[in-house]
Amino acid sequence: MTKASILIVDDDTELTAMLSEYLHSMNFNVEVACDGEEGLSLATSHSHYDMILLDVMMPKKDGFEVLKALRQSKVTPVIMLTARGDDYDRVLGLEFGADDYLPKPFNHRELIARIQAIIRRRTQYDDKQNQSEIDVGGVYIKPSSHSATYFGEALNLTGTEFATLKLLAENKGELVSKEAISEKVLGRRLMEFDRSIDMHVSNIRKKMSAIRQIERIKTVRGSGYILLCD
Amino acid sequence: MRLSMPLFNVGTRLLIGFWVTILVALLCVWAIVRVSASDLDIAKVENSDIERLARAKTRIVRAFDQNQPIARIIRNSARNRRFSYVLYDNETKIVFARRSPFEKRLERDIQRLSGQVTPLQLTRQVYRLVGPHPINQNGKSYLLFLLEMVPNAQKPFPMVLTLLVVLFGLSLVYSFVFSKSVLRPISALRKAATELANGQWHARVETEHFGKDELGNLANTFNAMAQRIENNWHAQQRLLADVSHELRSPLARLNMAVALAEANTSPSNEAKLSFQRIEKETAKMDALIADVLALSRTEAGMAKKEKIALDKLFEEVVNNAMFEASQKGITFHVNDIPQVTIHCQIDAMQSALENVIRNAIRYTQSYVRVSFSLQPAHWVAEVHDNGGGLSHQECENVFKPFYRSDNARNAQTGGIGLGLAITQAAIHHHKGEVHAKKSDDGGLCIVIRVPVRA
Repeated sequence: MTKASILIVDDDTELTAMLSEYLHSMNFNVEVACDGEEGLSLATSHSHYDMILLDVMMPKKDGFEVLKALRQSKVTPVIMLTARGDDYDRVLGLEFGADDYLPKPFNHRELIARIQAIIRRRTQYDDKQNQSEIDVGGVYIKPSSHSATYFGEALNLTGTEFATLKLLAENKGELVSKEAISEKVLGRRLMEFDRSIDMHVSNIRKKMSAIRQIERIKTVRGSGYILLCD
Repeated sequence: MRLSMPLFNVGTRLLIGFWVTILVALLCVWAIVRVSASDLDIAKVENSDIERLARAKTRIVRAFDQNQPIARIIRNSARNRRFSYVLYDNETKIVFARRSPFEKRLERDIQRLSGQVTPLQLTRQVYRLVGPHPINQNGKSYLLFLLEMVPNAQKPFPMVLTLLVVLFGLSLVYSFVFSKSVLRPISALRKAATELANGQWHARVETEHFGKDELGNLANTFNAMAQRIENNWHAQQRLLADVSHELRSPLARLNMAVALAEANTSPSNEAKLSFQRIEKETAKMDALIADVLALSRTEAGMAKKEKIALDKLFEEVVNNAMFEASQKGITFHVNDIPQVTIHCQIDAMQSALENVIRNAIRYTQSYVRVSFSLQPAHWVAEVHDNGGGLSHQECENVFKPFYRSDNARNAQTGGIGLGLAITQAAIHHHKGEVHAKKSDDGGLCIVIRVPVRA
């Protein structure tokens, strides 16, 4: 397997130096951008990145702006590095289409776990056995091209959103617990007071209802979600 | 009189307003006095009138002799002659006169003349009165007057009334326009001030509705103040974000340095323990920063207040608590949240209750119970647990920043001691109260009580 490439966008050069050294030692290719503008131009002009680690507070362009601009053209997985305790930042990042977030200061083991969860999810779709297409109540999922449509119109989903929708579609009409989504999609246990799954599902809902106003994904309070098949 | 003078300042308008009011009042008094007093004129009687009186007396005495009632005599006199009779009973003080719109005034005039020994003539715009002339008949004594109505006389009373109505109407219009011109800017100011107090920092008074008067100046000053507050608020937000960022960056580097040390060397077991210790302490430091920032944010209490239903406000907090409790194998009970809409800073209120519930889940033995209720003007949330509880002394101190009970210290639960301080700051900011007491369920009970109209 080829080494996965990671782009780090952060203005803290001391941190990025250590981080890239550490990720190198963990067998990743690493590139570093020191501010938002540079990061955005690298991320949009190259398509070999498997993952972008994006800091929020940066000069020139902050992480949200970079993410917003990036999502116009790319679905490269993004993990936001946010300041913990700022729920608003997290929610905003997920709303703009981040795949996951990691509060600073992060634990290195957790960082590796999250990076690997997302990359593993990516490579799963490249695996030929897992390519059967799913068609549930207007939702059409094509794992081979990593794309989904809703009543024939393309749903422009991020990796996490795609994986979440796919998981719901595979278990159509059944309750999929938040714990299960967290473990299978984000590769980690659901933490208490963690709203990221809800944010991803709400993003999917928004994109679906922009195409057709049907309540397709039902919330079961306190436990999980169901994809209704008519 | 100009009614609306937007170019004049408030002081001038007030001055003119008072001045005009006093002038109008004086005018009214003058008009009334003039109208009521001017037409009264008393003079000596002319000879012809004395003869008329004598003739009238002869007729009346004759009529009395024929036993005609007084009312009939008076009525007959009013029918044919220019002069009608008026009789005044000296004993009973009753006036017998023809019907007219001026009965009251006539009565007063008769009373006025009744004390005279010789006849006089009293002239008003509407009538002329001649008398008195005594008549003694059947042991009763009367005074005779002759009443001549002035034909087609102008009726002064309606004229005065019209004048009064016009003046009254004009003053009403003036007062209305004036008070509106003062009150509209004031209510605009009040609205902006209320919004500002609610944390809507962009609230400003729209100065185009104001003239260049004192109120316009006040509006400009108010806007300058609001701008200042907004700037301060942004500065404070920026400072908090910067502090958070600056304090955490070294921690992030520290973490990374540990990771590198672990990855690049093959550490001994003791070194590994030290690394773990460093990680644990950085995590604690991080939690501490988060809580200190949350506390200072809550104490500053500057977020915007919004309207929200109580159940919607706490739905997620309760759901999360259920989840957390189930992960720890703790029974979690919650009753239905009452239907009421409150006005609050959503984040602050949510973290206030969240901190209390998390504490309960952390320290309880097996069981946490949350009960919401509604009092006439307050909503109440009680969080019970069946853990070790706190002594009376500890109950008082538990809301102080960095305070941790001996139980908590010994239990190594990892709390920092800011959670309940944050709760208290948020609740006090909403004019509510929070206190700790012994729970009926054995452990601790935290009671939050907040006015619905906070």
